[in-house]
Amino acid sequence: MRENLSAFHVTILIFMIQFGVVLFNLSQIEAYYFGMNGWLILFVVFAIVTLNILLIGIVYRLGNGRSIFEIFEEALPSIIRIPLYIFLTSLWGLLGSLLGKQYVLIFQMIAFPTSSTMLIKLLIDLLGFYLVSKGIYTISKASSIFFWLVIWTAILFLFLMKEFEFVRLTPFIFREHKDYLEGFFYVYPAFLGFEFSLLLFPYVNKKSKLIKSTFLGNLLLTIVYLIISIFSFGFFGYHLLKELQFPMIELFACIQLPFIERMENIIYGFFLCTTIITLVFYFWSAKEALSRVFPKVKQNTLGIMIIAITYLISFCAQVLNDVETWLRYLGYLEIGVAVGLPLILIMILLLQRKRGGIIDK
Amino acid sequence: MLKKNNQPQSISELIQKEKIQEGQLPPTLSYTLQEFEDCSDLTHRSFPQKKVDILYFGNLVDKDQLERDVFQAVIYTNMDTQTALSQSQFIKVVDSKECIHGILAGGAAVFYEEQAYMIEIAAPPSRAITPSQADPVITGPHEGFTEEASTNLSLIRKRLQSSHLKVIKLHVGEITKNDVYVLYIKDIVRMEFVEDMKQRIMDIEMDAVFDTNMLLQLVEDDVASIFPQYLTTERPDAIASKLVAGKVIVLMAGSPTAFCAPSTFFEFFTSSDDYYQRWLIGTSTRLLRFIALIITISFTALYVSITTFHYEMIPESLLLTLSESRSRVPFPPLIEALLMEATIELLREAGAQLPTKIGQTIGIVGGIVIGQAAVQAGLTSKILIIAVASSAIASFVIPSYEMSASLRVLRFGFILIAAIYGNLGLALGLVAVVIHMCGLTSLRSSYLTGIAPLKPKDWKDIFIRAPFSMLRTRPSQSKSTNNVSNKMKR
Amino acid sequence: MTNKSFIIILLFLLATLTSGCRDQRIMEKLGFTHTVAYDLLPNGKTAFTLTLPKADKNSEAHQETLTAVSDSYKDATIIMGRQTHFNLVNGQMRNVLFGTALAKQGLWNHLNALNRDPVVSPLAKITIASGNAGDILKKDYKEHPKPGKYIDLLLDKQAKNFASYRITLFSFSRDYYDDGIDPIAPTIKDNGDTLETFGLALFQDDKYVTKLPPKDTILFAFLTGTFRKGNWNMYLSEKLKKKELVVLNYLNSTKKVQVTHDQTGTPHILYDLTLKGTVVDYTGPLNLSIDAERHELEKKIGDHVRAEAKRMVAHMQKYKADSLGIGKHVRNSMSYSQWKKMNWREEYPKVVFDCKIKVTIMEYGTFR
Repeated sequence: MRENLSAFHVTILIFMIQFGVVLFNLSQIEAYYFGMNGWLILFVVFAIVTLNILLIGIVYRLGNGRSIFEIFEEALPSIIRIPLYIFLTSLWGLLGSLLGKQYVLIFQMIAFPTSSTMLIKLLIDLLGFYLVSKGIYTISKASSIFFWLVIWTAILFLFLMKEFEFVRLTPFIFREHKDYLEGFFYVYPAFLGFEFSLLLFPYVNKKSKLIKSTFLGNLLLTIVYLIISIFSFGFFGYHLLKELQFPMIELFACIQLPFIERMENIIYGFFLCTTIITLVFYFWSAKEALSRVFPKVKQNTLGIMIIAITYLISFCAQVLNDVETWLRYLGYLEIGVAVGLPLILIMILLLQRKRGGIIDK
Repeated sequence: MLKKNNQPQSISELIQKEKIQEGQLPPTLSYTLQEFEDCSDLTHRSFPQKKVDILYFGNLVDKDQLERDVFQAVIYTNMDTQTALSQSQFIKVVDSKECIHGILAGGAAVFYEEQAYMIEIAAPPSRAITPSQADPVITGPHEGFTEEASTNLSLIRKRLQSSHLKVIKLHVGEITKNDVYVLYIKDIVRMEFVEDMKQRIMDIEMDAVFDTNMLLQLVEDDVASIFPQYLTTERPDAIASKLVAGKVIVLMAGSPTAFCAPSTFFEFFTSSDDYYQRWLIGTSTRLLRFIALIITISFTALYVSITTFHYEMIPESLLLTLSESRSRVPFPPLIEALLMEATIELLREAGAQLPTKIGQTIGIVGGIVIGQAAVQAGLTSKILIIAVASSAIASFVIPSYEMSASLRVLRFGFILIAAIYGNLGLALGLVAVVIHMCGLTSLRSSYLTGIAPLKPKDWKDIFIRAPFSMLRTRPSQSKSTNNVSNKMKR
Repeated sequence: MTNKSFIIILLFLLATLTSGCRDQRIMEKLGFTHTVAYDLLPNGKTAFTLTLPKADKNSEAHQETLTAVSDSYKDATIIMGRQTHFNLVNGQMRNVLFGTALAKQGLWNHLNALNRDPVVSPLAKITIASGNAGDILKKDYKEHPKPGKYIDLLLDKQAKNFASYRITLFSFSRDYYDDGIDPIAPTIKDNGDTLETFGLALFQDDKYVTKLPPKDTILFAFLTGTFRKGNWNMYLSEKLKKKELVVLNYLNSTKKVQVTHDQTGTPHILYDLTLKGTVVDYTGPLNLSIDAERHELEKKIGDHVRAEAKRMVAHMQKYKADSLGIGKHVRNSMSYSQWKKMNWREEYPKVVFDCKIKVTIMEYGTFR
């Protein structure tokens, strides 16, 4: 019985790929780069991402749902194709690996400061491999469970409502902003992940409404980001928010229940769920690309190879700031991929249609 | 264990060989007697004046029936023997194998001249129908299955008077040749499941399978998994409801347990009681069981995690009690917790092994004496005793024994990882378990159906027990071809 | 399938078991810092006093007190760590006390250090001790719990009734950073045998400038709009012969703020307030069961509160401490460039403040 990903699962999967630890300092980035009421930038980014998703939609429509690798293989000679695949593999593999490392390093700020980062990362990578090896359906199933495991934390904000003041939001828009473009390149990666719907083509059917679901996933993400950002601005005030490294951790630390307090480390633990989906999907995509280069090697072997090699590379980035710098540059590349890949595909498909149209009819 | 591949001399092989060589062997008295050589429990009655020989196992047959249907009908009658043997209770057999099998199954074989007749008069020893020990209910029927398959089938038939209820009979065990019954309701069940289950049972090549619980381990999807993949029960009413829900049921002769497939994780947290109580009560009990699930897995692990790493998480007043109580304990929290958990497990196992009356004493001795003394002696802290005891009690709330045992094992994993990485460890453990469960299947359908793949319709019968007016469809895991189960207008 | 899971489990075990347990904080080996007191010494250094509650069965609230002189708290803990067999940890810090002298000099350096430490709870309370903070912690208030616990419980209770304020590290920092409000902190005073919450300390940025007397804290809470319940007693007339006291209870208040600017650009602030409450005590000539007389009392209360509020704001303006957060409203009424051009600290004393109060007496007791 071959299952297809249902529309809901695609939505949740896309949401979970996009959603990650960036949440923890997103509002700080907004405040720092976009100034007062910086959360408004989310609307702009949302619009751009929507356009980007439309590009992917065009690819899906033109290619009749064929896998993008098939499209490449029909159009490009292997001399172009293989470097492209290798590039994608290393980009995605590294992103996945570093996201895991970033998660661990942030955790180590709250707890376990002297434990070995790489050992904890090894555990996370092992879990990642475990999930990657189970295939895309299990990943999507896991993502929907992790979704529930994470989303309930939103309820906790209710405990902080009384500290929220609209007055603190100020009526000023983007005052005291820094470089918009740089800020944009900080915020945009928080939305990355939607581009993986490109790789889902072979796993969906008409009923999955891939593009609509991707859009909905992105919409859901934007709403969650908006709520959290507006809440952060009204809770901390712009001036303090700018100074905080991880406003979300601070938020959770302010929750005090009668039987438990200082929930930040347990909540942050729950965010492992979203991180693991994000990094698993990067690994999985890397594996998909690599398996096109080495079609005869077993999928699991490729998975292990990617995770092991990127694990070794991630030794180079020692501290959180290093990891963030690496992630930023890789993020730029990934933005390029998110925009460039669909554009290239559209070009290829249009050319094919021009040529193929004559042959067909 | 005799394995077919390694030992070509196994009995079944021999029998098969004979069959191939000689084809159908006509049943003769001498051959049959030769087959049963040295079976001192075989009764052989000879009536030379009528040229009749009767063979049966005295302790397998019903004495009254034997007297009435065989001796009265054939021997002490004025009828001519040939006519007497044409009565309907006698079935003529042409194959000696069939004859031998019949005798073994509790029939009597009547040999007259060159012919052989079988009569079905089996009355094997069996116990009366008693309430099920394994899954008792407060309200609802108290009948439980017995070891006798025919009784069990009759208990099910009694509840499901439908010609759509089909029973497929299969055999497992190369030597034991136990009967296995696969039950399903035609037009409700998805036939792929039946075929799959049949195939899996037929693929079993083991000398002996003694119990359904053994059988189900042979047909599981993932043997390495910590979770049970098929729900077992001893209750005919539960089985009837599973059949109606579109599941495949497997029963086995000689076992009072039946299992249903496919099952979801959540089914292990339901009990027939939920449906017999009013829905609000049913819902609250069901929610209670899910809370019990969380408590079972997390309480002791959280204790270890907090006392080892995250002292800042608990309110001040509790902290002081806790650290005061901990201050007299000479071990690190992990050892302390494992010690107590092991004690509880010992108590549980001791209680299970001993007769009920002594078992109760064990509970009192263990619970009060050890618990009290351990705290006073400074071996554990009071809070830990509470954590361990409540998680043990919570584990007993879960109706399925298999699931509760699995969770108790899982709990040790969580305690260990919590002792190493605290809350991060708990998160890692949780993620690992979720990933494992997502990959798990029961008869090739997702183990977590309801949440993943998400079927909000099912939630009415997973997390809560909605009023019957809302329970209109069968669980989506069954992928039933006939999905509506309730057409009432309300 | 099975092999793969075994390998994963094996690696998992290896990775977990080889990890050291360096980050263990086993509870009974820790000394939880409960309250820290900061005092300025004449030589410019700071004296740190901290209390560790001890889990001792025999005495309910036993505590250990440690002191050290240093420049920073982190350094001081190292010195104090030498004096105790516990590992000092800050994750359970409940209260930070500052001596008045230090508060006058500015708190931000110390608070910033606490903020930076992810272990310290953002909900640790900030309190100003009138006089020397360390001395309060070292004392033994016989009929009360040990000082650390005592202060904690006292402040929590008082804050619930709005007789004091619960100012946490987080809320202090937030108000410090916000350009439209100045932080406040509750004050406690040593009375010899007891401690007493003693009004609010008002800050100009992080410097203690003046304080509000205890009787004004409810008025203050009323003006911030956070007031929910508590006893509010007011002397409507203080003349010796006919003292008129009214005590309101179970209050419910709402607040609206209007900002207008006159021709010169000076902001006019109008607080539009409603106050609903029960009269629990009244010593005066009016008969509350008569509607007209009750309304008269309502008006009297309104006038009184208005006058008091204006007095209090004038006091704050005098010290240039915008503790009510008037600046936030002014800021929101202006354009960004206007706001930036305006030096709020200097403009603040010129602001014209007024309020409009609608009082409703819900009940006046079971006696007519």
